[in-house]
Amino acid sequence: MSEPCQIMYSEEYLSTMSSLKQYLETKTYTEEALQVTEEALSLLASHYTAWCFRLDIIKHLGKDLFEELNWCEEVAIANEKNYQIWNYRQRVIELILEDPALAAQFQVRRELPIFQMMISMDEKNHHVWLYRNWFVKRFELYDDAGELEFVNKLIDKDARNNSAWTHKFFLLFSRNDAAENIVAQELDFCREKIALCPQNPSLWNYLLGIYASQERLLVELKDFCGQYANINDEEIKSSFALETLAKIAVEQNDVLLACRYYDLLLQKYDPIRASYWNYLSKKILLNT
Amino acid sequence: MKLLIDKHARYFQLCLNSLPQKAQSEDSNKLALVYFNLYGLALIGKLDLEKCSGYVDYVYQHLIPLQDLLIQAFRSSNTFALDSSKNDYDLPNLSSTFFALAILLVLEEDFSSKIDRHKIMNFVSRCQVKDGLEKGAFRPVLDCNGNPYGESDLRLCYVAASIRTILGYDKLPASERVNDFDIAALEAFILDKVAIAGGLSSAACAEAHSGLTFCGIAALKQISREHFLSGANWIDSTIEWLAHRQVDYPDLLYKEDYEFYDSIDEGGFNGRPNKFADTCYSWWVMALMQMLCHDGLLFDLPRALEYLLGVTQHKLMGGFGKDGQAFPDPFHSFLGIASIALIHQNAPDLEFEGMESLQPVDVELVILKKLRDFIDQLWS
Repeated sequence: MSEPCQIMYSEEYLSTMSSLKQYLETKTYTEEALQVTEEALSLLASHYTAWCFRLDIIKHLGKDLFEELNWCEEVAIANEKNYQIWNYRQRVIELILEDPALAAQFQVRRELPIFQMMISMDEKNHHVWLYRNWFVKRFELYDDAGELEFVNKLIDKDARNNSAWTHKFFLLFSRNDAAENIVAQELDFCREKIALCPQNPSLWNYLLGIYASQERLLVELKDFCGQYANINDEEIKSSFALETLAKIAVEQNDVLLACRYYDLLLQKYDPIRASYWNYLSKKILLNT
Repeated sequence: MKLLIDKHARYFQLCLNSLPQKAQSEDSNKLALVYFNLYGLALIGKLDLEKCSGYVDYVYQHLIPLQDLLIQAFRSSNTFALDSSKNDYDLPNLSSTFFALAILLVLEEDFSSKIDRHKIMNFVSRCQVKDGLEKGAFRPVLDCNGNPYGESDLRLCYVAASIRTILGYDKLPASERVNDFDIAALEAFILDKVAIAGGLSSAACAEAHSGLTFCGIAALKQISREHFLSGANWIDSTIEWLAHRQVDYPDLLYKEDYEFYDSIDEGGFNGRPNKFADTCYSWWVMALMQMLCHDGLLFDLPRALEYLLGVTQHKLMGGFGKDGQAFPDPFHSFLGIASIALIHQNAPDLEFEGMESLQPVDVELVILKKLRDFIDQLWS
C-alpha cells in the first residue's frame, strides 16, 4: 500500500506514541500514564485522545484539580499555539465546581494571572479571548470593575486592538440593559479616541455597534462625522466617517447624497472597495 | 502575472510523497494534509488518478473497527490505531471523517457500498451538543464512553454539515434521514454567533473572524438554503464586514505607522480588522462573498490576484506561504490555488498565464465543482 504524505517521524515521537498506546489499550490510569500524556501532548497538542485520557486519569486517581490547573498554565505558556488547552481547562474548572467542597475553594481571581500572561504574549490571541468570553459568561463578570479595567488598559496601550474593543462591547452592551449613563460615557470615550486616531476601524465598529444595540438614530453623529469627513475640504481624515455619513444619508432617505458619498469613497478615499460602493449605490437607487 | 502550474504540481507531489519531521506536530491532521495536496493537484488539473489508486485503501484503513456497531467513523492518523480488541481509546474523529470522505470523492471512489451512511450520520449526531450554551454545535471526538469531547466551534459545525452533504442526506426525504442531527439547533447556534457589525465567531459576542465566518455560513447554506433568500440584516452586515477585509492602506488616510499595517499586504485579505493579510483569508472571504451576495465578488479582483501571485506564491519551490515571508505549506498552497480558481471563475477576462489549467471550485465544500454531480450519482 502506498501511504500519501508519509511523515518522517522522530524516534522520540514514535516511542512516546507507542508507550501511550500501551496505556490506552490496557486502560492503565496511573501516574506513569499521566506523565506519558504530558509528553505526548508536548509533541502533539491537538491529540484529542491524549486529552481525553488525561482527564480520565485525573478522575480515576482523584488528583488535586487545582494542581491540574497549575499544570495547564505551564503548558499554555510553553506553547501559546496550544488551542486545546483552553477547553481542557474549562472541563477541569467544571469538575471543581461540581464538587461543593472544591467549589468553595475556587476563586475566580485565580484565572486572571494566566490571562495577563497569555495576552501579554499575543494581545490578539483569538483562543485566549474566546476563553475569556466563556469566563465572563460562566461567572457573570459583566459588571466586574477589574474586567473593564483590564480591557481599558489594553485599549489605552493599543487603540487598534480589535479583540479588546470586542470584549469591551461584550461586557457593556451584549445584554440589553445598558444604563443611559454608560452609553453616554462610552460615546464620549469613542469621540476622544477617534480624535486621536480617526482612521481606525475597530473604533468605528464599536461606536456604530453602540448605536445599533441601543437602536439610536445615526443622525446624531452627523456633526461629529463632519469633523473627520468634511467633503468641502481638500482631503478628509477618515473614510469611516465618510461611510457613516453615507449611512446617515440612507437613514434619512437622501439617496442622492448617499450616492455622492459612495462616489467619493470609490474615486478617492477607498478605491479598493469600488465594487462594494457601486453595489450600495445601485441597491439604494433600486429601492427608491 | 503567472500561476506557476508546474511548480505547484511538483510542490504538491513532493508533499504527497513525504513530509519532513516537523510535520509530526500535524499528525492529528494527517488526512487533512492528504486532502490539501490532492485537491491542490486536482484544482490545477494535475491529479493523476491512476497513480493515486493506492490511496483509496489507505483511507479505508482509517475506518475504526468500533465496538459500537451503530456508528462508523474514521480516526485522524494510523499512528493512533489500537489493537481492535482493546480499542476504546481509538477515538472516532469528526474532522477526519470529513477529510476521509472528501479524499475518497476526489479519487472518484464509489464508497456508497463500503460505508454505511446512516451509521456515519449516527456518529455525527452523537458529536452534537444537546444542551447548554453550546447546544446545536459539534465537538471533535467521542470519548471512550461515547460522549462528545473537545471545543465546540464553528469549524466542527462546518465539518458536520459537509459530511451530511457528502452523504447525500440533504437530498433524502425526511422519513429516510433516520440519523439526522438536530438541524434547527445547529441553525440557531450559528445565527446566534453573528456579531453586531457582521461576521461570526465561535461564541456569542466574541470577535468575528473570517475563517469561522466561512465555516458558520457554509454550514448554514448546506442545511437550510431558505435563510439566504430572505435579505436578513445579518446578511447585509456580513457583506459589509467582508468588503472591509480586503486590505489597503492609502497614504492619504494612513499617515502613521502601525505594526499590523504592511503595504505588502495590500490587495490581500485579513481575518479581522487591524490584522495582517494571509493567503487563506483570500479564500474564506471571497468564497463567503460568493455565497452571500448575488452581485458576485465585490472586491478588487486584479489586486487580490496580484497579492497571491506576486506576494505569497513561492517562485522557487511552488506552493503558497501564509504571507510573503513564509515558507509554503499544503494548507495555504491549497487555499491559494482555490482562491485563484474562484477569481478566474468570476473574472474570466482577467488574464494570466496558467489560468487555463484551473478547474471550477465548489465554494461550500471546497472541492471540484464536478464532484457535486459525483455525490449525486453515488446516492442515486
